[in-house]
Amino acid sequence: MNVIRAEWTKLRTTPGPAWLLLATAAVSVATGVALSAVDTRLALSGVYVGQIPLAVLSVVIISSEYSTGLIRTTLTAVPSRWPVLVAKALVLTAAVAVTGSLAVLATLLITGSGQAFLSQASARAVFHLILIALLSLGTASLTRDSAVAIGTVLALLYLPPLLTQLITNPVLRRLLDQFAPMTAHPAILALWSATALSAGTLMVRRRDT
Amino acid sequence: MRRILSAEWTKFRSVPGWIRGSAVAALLIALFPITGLGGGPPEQAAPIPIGPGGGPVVDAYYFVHRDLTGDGRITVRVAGLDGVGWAKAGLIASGGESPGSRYATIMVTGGHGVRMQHDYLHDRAGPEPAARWLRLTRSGDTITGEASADGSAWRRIDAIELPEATRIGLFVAAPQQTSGLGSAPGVATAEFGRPELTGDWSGDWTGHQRGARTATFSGYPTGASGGFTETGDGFTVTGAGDLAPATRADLPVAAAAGDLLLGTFPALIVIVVVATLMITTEFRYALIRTTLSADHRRGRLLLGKALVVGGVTFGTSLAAAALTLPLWLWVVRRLGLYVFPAPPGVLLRASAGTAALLALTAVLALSVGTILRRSAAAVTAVVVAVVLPYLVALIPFLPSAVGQWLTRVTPAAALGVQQTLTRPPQVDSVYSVAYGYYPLSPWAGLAVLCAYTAATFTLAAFLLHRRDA
Repeated sequence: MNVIRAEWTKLRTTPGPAWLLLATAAVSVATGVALSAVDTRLALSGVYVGQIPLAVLSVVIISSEYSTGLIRTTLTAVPSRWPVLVAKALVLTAAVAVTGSLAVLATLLITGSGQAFLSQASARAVFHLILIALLSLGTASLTRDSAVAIGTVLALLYLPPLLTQLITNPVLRRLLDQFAPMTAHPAILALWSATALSAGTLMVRRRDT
Repeated sequence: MRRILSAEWTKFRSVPGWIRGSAVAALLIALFPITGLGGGPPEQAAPIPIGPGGGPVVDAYYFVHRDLTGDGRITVRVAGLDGVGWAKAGLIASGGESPGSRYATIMVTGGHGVRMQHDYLHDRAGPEPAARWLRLTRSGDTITGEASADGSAWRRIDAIELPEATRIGLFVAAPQQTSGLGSAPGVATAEFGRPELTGDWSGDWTGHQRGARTATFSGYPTGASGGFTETGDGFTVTGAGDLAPATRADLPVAAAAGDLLLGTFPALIVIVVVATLMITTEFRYALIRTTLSADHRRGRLLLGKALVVGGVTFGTSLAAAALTLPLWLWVVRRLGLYVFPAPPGVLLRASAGTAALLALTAVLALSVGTILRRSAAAVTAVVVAVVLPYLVALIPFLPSAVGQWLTRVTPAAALGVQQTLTRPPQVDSVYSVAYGYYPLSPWAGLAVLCAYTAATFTLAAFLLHRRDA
C-alpha cells in the first residue's frame, strides 16, 4: 500500500504526467471530433492518435527514474523490486481509466451521441488506452532508456498498418491486422501488455539497476 | 571544425548501441521487402498489354473498321459525343491485333477538344478545339491527321510513321470515372456521319470490342454494353475503355518500384532514436559541460554532430537502398508480380532521395532533441511529424484533399522522393498517396523537409547558445 502511495505521489508531484494526460485527452477528443465530421462512427478513433502522449507518459514514468538515478532510492526502499512495477502499473491504470473515460465522454457529448457512453465501444476505447499505457510501461522497464522504449512502442503501433500496404496475400494481411497492437482485439492487446510487463518485471528483478 | 568533427565521430563510433542502430537501420532498408513476399504474387487472370514504349497500357475501345490497301483516306463528321472528360470518339489506324500494338488516332473528346494521339504516350491538341470533322490520310507509311470546323477548310495536326496500319475505322472509348478514391467503368456513345472513303477499301463495316480480355480494361458499367448501329446517314457507336498509359488504378495488382523502399519507415524510427540520443545523452550525463568547456563555439558543436549523424546515415542508407532495390526488383519480377517499369535514373533518384530523407530526419531529430532535451518527447515529436501524416493520408475513407494537403505541407512530403510513377497528363485517374502518387515533385517534397530541418536546426543552435548547459 505504501508503495502505491509513493508511486502516486511521484506521479502527482511532477508536472510532466499531468500535462501528458491532458494532452492524451485533448488529442483524443480533438481527433475524434474531427473524424466524426467524416463519419460519426469514427468519433472514438481519436484514441489511436491520443495514445501517443500517453505512451510517452508511460515510458517516462519508469525511464526517468533510470536517467536521474532515482531508481536506486526506489529499489533500496523496496528491495523485492516487483511491487514497484505493480504499483506503477496500478497507479497508471487508474489515472488512464479516469482520463480516458473523461475523454470518451467529452467526445461523445460534443458529437451529440452522449447516450452511447455506456456502450461496448467506449469501454473498448478506454481499455485500449489502458493497455497501450501498460505495454509502454513494460517496454520501458525492459529497455531502461526512454528513446529506445518510445521508438519500440511507436514502431509496434504504427509500422504494421504501413506493412499491410506491401502484403498482397489476404490471409497474411488479416493475420497481421488481428495481432498488431493498434488493430487487435483488446484481449490480444492485453496479451501484448502482459508479456511486456512480466518480461519487464523479470528483468528489473534480475538486473543491477 | 575538424577537431569537433573528430571528437563527435569518436563519441559516435565508441557507443556500441549507436553503431548497431545505424547498421540495423541499413539492414531494415535492405531486408524489409521480405515481409511482402510471404503470400506470393496475387492471382492474375488476364494479360497486361505492354505498349511500344515498354510500359503497361490500356488498349480497349469499340472499333468499327474496314481494311485499306495502299494509299487512301477516310473523312467523317462526329455529330455528337455523349461522354465527359477524356471520353474519345474519332478515327483510328490500328497497327495490329495484339494488345499494346501501335496505332494513330484523331478524335473528338468529351472535355479536351480535338486531339491527335498515337502509341499511348503521345498527345497533341488540334488548333480548333470545336472542330467536328476528322480525316486520316495514309500515303506510303505516313498517317496524317487533319481536323476541320466546316468540312472544307482543313488544318493538319500531326503526321505519324505507321507502316503496319491496315485496319482503319471509327472508334469510341471512355476511361474509368474517378470519384473520390475509387473509380468506376465509364461508357460513351457517339453519332458519326457517313464516312467518306477514297482508295482501295475492302470488307464490310464490322465492329468489335478491342482489348476485352486484358487486365487494364475495367469493362462496362452494369447494364451497358458496346456496339454499333448503322443509321440512315451514319453510325451510332457505344464503347468503353481507353488508349493511354496504364495508371495504378487500372492495375491495382501491380506494384511500384517505390513500394520496395518501405523499409524506410522502420529504419527511420531507429535513426531518430540514435540521432536524438546523440544530444540527450550529453544532457543526461552532463557530458555537455565538458564538451562545451573544450570548445565554446556551441553552434559548431551542433553542426559537428549533425554532419556526423547525417553523413553516417546518408552513407549507410544510400548503400543499402541503391544496392538492394535493383536486386529486390529482380526477385519480385521473377516471382511473377508485375512491377511498373522505372528507368535506372529514377531508381537511383529514389535510393539517393531515401538516403537524403533519412539523413535530414536524423538532423531534425538531433535539433528537436537539443530543443526539448528529453529523449522520449523528441523521438515522439519527430516520428509523429514524419510518419503520422503519411499514415493518415493512406486512410481510405478520408477525403482525398486531406491526404494531398498532408503530403504537401508536413515533413511527410519528403516521402514523395520515393515515387517512381508518373502522371500522364492525358489521363484522369486516382492519383492518391496510397497508389504512390504525391502532390509534389520528388525534389520539391524533399525540399519541404529540408526547410523544416533548417528552421529547427537554427532554433536549436540559438537555444543552445542562449541557455545554460
